[in-house]
Amino acid sequence: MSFFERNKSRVVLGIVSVLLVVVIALSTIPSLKPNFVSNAVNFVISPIQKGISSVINSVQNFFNVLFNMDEFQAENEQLRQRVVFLESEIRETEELKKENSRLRSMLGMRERMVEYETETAEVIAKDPGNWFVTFTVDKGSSSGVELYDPVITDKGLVGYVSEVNVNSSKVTSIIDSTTSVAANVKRTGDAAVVEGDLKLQEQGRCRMVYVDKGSVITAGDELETSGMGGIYPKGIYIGKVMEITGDGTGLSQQATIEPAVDFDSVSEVFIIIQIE
Amino acid sequence: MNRRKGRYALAYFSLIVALVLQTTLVKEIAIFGISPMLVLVLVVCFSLMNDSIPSAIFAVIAGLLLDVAGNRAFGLNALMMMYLSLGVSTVGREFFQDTSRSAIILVFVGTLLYETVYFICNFLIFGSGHFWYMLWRVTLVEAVYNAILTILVYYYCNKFLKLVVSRSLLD
Repeated sequence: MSFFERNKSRVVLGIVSVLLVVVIALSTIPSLKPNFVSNAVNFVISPIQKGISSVINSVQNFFNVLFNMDEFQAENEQLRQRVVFLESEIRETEELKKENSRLRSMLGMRERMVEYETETAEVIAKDPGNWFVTFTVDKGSSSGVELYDPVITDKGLVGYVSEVNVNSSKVTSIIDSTTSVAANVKRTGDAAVVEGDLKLQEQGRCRMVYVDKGSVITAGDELETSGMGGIYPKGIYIGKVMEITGDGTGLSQQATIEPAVDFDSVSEVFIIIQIE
Repeated sequence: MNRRKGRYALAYFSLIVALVLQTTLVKEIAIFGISPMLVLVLVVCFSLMNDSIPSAIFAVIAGLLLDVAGNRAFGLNALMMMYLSLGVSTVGREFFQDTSRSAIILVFVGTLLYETVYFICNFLIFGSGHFWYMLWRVTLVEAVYNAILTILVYYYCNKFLKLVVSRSLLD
C-alpha cells in the first residue's frame, strides 16, 4: 500500500488547504480576485436577495407608518411650511445665480460647478458577518458602475464601490474599519481624516483623526469631504462631530463622528458614476 | 441512490437559502448590533450528524459562498469552515452523541473559535487593537445567539438532512 493510499484523506486535506491559502493570497491583489465565481454566484442569489429585501422594506415601512402616524402628520405640516419658505429661497437663489454668472463673465472667470451623474441603486444584501459594514446593491458594470465609485444618499456620504459584478456591486461604508476619508471641518476649514473603527462601527459611528492640536473643533461641527485622496469629490456631507477626545499621544485631537447616513436602515443609494 | 441524491440537493439548496437569509432577514434581527451566523450553525449541525468527508466538502462550499457574499480575502471562510467541520466531525464522534445538546455546545465553542481566528486573520495582523473588547462584545454575543438558533437548525437537519450521507445509504 503506497503512502498516498494510506494517507489519502490527509493528502487531500493538505492539498485543499494549500490551494485555499494560495487563493487567499492571490485574492488580496484586487486585479486577481476571482470575479467569475463572484459573478456566477451573485447572478443566482441577487434576485432572491432583492425579493427578500423588498419584502423586508415593505413590512418595515408599513409598521413605521402605523406606529408613527401622529409624528408623520406633524412632520408633514412642518415640511409644508418649509416648502413655502424654500420656494421663495429658490427664486432668490436663481436671481443670485444669474447675477453671479453675469459678474463672472464680466471678470472672465470660468464656472467651477461640479456636477454628478448618478445611478440609483437598491440595497439588496448586507455583509454576512459581524466584522465589516459592507452591503450589496443591485447595480453593476452593466449600469456603468466602476470600482471606487463614490456612493451617497440624499443625506450624505455612504462609502465607495469595492467590488463590481455584472448586475450587482459591493459597497464598503465609511464606518467600516478598513476605510478612511479625507475630510474638512466646515466651520473652521480644518483638514482631518474620517476613518472606521471596530468599536464604533456597531453603533453606526466612526471617528475623525489627525485633527490639529490647536484647532477649535466643537461638538456639532459639520464635516464634508475635502476632495483629497482621489475617490470622493469635494463637498459631500459626512456627518457631525459628537465628542472630542485626545489621540493618546498629545500630538493631535480625535473625535467621534455621527454620520448623516443611518447604515442600519439604508435601503436606496446613489452611485456617482461620473463627475463632470 | 436517488433518495441520497435528493437529500444532497436539499442540503445544498438549504445552504443557499441560509446564505440568502443571513445577508437579508437575519441582519434585521440583530441583538446589540450582532447578528447570528446561520451558515456556520448549519455547517456544524450537518457535520455532527454526517460523515467527515461529505461534511468537509459541504463546509468548503459554505465557506466559499460566504467569501462571495462578503468581499474580503477570498477563500478564508472556506478554509476555516473546512477545519471547523473536520473538528466537529472528529470531536463529535469521540466525545459527543448526536443530540441537540451536543450541537448547541459545539456551535457555541465553534463560533468562539471561528470568530476569534477570523478576527486575528483580518485585523490583528494589520495592527487593529480592541482584541478583548471585540472577543467579548462580538464573538461571545454571536456564540450565544448561534447556540439559540441551533435548536431550530438542528431539528431541521435531523429531520431532512441526516440521511444524506448515512452509512446505510453510502454502502
